[in-house]
Amino acid sequence: MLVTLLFGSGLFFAAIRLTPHPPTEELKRASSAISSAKSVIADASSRQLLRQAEADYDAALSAWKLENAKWILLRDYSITRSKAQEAESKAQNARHAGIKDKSNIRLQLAVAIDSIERHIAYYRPLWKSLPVQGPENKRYEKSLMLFYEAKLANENKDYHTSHKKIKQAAQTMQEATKALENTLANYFRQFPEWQSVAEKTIKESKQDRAILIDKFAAKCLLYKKVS
Amino acid sequence: MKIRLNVILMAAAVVIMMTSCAKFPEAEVQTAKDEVEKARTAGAELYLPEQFAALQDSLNATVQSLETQKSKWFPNYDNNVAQMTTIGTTANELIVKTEERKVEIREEIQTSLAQIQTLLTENNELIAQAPKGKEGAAALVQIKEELAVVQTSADEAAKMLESGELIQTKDKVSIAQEKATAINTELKDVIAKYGKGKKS
Repeated sequence: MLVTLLFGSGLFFAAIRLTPHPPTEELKRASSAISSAKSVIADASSRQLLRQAEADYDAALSAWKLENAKWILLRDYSITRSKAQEAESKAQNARHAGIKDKSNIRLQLAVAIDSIERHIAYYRPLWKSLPVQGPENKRYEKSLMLFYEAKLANENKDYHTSHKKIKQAAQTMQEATKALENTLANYFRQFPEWQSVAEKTIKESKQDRAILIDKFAAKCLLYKKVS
Repeated sequence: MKIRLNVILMAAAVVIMMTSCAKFPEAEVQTAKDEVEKARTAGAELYLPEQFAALQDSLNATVQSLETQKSKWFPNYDNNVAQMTTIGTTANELIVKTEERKVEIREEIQTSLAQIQTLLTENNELIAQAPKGKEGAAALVQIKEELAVVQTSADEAAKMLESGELIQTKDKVSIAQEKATAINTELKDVIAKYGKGKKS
């Protein structure tokens, strides 16, 4: 009886000793690295790395489940460990890439916002004073709305939306500004002719009267002969 | 002979004892995963991102804990079953909170849109009262065009609201309201100055 008990105990402890150690720590570290990466992912390239990390994590979990379905002493967790370590490594790389991308995108946005603000400071007064067509004015106002929406998204740390709207604002603003510059170019190209016509009209008004409209100065001038 | 039989029986007893295990709670795991997925579909990830991330982490940790238990000779899933139940409950609560948040945002947007329309109407009336002197007329034309853009922005926001894009709509409406308010203030200031000028 004693021999049997000793033999049984020996078997029991041998079994415990030979039981493969589960890959709990590796899976925990991989999971933690993925969570950490998710909080900083901003760009497409870092998102791709994160997806690969998640795929490796899922593969590690599936491998673990497969091994756990076997009899305990026949389990081999080496593939699970390997996949979990790959997942952790890729998640860490994704996090580093995400931090770098976020930093780049924030810098790009800061530069773009500064550039557009300077553009507005220069051109806005012109828009208010020039005889520009209605549709062009509307386009310019729309670009301003897009810009303010981009700034708000930036303040809310929604950098992707901000980036998208800044690009739309810049494009719309550029189209409107080009139209404004064309209007000015046309005006100054024809200015000598208008100047000449205005002088002739003023001269002829000595006989009677004349009305001159200066759209640029927003003035209406009445010339009348004084008898 | 007897000793050999006893050894074999003892060995068999040890093996049976060591390989008997509690039943893996497959149904509870699937239920918890389904509830978390329902919360994601309801929009929890978008409207309550931190709470959803915590729930997801909790689910992942519990799944790992289950497999760790399964790796043992004598698994005990009682704690894990309790955790899965809690996760399911939390997921359901998150669904309710998400719907509440969506209703809250929707109401904020609708209130803002109504305020924008009120401001636009008032601004158009103020334009009629504003001085149309030397530079005034050109400035008023400019303001009318700015108001037209605010109206377009509000109309776009109303369409986005119908399609369910609540967060982007909220930002868009916020900007349009700020613009309409700024124009309202500008017009009132100008009219007030003009009124003072006339009296003196």
